[in-house]
Amino acid sequence: MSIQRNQIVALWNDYWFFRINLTLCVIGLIYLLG
Amino acid sequence: MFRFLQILFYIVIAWWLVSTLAGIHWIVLLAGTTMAGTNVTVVYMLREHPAVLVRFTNGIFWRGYVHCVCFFTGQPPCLDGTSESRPSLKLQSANDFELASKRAKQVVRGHDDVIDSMLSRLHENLTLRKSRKTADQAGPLASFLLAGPEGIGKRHLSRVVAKLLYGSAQVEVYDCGKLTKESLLGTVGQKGKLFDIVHRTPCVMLLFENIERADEGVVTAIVQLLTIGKLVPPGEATAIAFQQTTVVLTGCRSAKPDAERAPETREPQSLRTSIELVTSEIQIDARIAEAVTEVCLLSAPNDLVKAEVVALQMQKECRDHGVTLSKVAPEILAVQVLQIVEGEGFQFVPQRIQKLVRKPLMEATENHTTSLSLRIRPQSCA
Repeated sequence: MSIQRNQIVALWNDYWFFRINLTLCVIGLIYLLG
Repeated sequence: MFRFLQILFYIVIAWWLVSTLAGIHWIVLLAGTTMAGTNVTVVYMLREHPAVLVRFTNGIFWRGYVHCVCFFTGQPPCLDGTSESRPSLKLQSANDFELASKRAKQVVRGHDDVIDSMLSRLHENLTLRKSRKTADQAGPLASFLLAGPEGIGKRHLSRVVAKLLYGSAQVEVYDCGKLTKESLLGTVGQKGKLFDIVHRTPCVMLLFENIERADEGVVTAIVQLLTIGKLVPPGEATAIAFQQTTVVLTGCRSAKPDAERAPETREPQSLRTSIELVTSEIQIDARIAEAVTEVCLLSAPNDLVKAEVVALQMQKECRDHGVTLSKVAPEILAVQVLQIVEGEGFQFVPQRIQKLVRKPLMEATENHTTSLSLRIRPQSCA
């Protein structure tokens, strides 16, 4: 089970829920770790 | 450029949200980030590895959570991790399948062994799928190759099984003689109707008729569907899953009665024998015969079965008009049975029955009677 770039791109394109949560997750991690 | 601006917009919004929340406590932020990360993971798992998700969603809380994610993303609940325990499949236990088998035999006559075979394969596949640890290489729920003479009720049998299994008699029928790869899968920029149907209702029965007439492109697509359970629309990166569908392929076999066949071909001993028989009698691609779950050989019905089918059709026609058919003279049944010729089977039986009972039904309607008895009117001597 490996994550491929095109799978993430497809999810990003298809679901607004995925876009918002991924963005929040990345920003949250940057903020917390920084 | 537009995508870059879109991503930037999301980052600015998220940054603003995080900055606002930063004043509260870092633990709240940590919880929010964890929540967002979990959402991302669940959306990914729902799409790519639903069977793996099943192992981690046992409790009511997690099931509810997965359903919420399904609601927000619009992914079909049938494919989510909890579909095995709250299915849109009507048959689950061995008892369900046994009852379904009895019901199917009441409405489909002359194919008892095929009904048993189809339902037992479906039961086995469902049980094994639940215990399977990975979703990789999982084909459809089950696939069947029904080989038999024209007009003996292959489509009717499929509809009855679909009704019992999914609760809906919706069967998507494709005639392989007229089907091309483009009409099945679509073209770049325009997906085929098949993908829309499966995306909208993942639990559906797909019926490919006259499989021996399918061209190479269609055969390749069907083999991929049967083996992997996924098809990729032309020009797209994401595959559509067909893992909740049931695929039925039909092939036209000669209507030679079983008595005239060689003794070793009357009752195939194993799946291997059935495959060899089918590939020898029908010009079918060997890959299809190998890929299907079960090969079912349907024989031409005998006169008793034909009479039962005619009687059932008469009952149905009368019932549709609010009249009960109490008795039918055997001679009437015999005449109808004799009109069923090899090669067309039961194809025109409903039309003949409609013509036959039109006058008696008219009289019954005019006289407001609810019971009807069909008998031959004696000829007058004059």
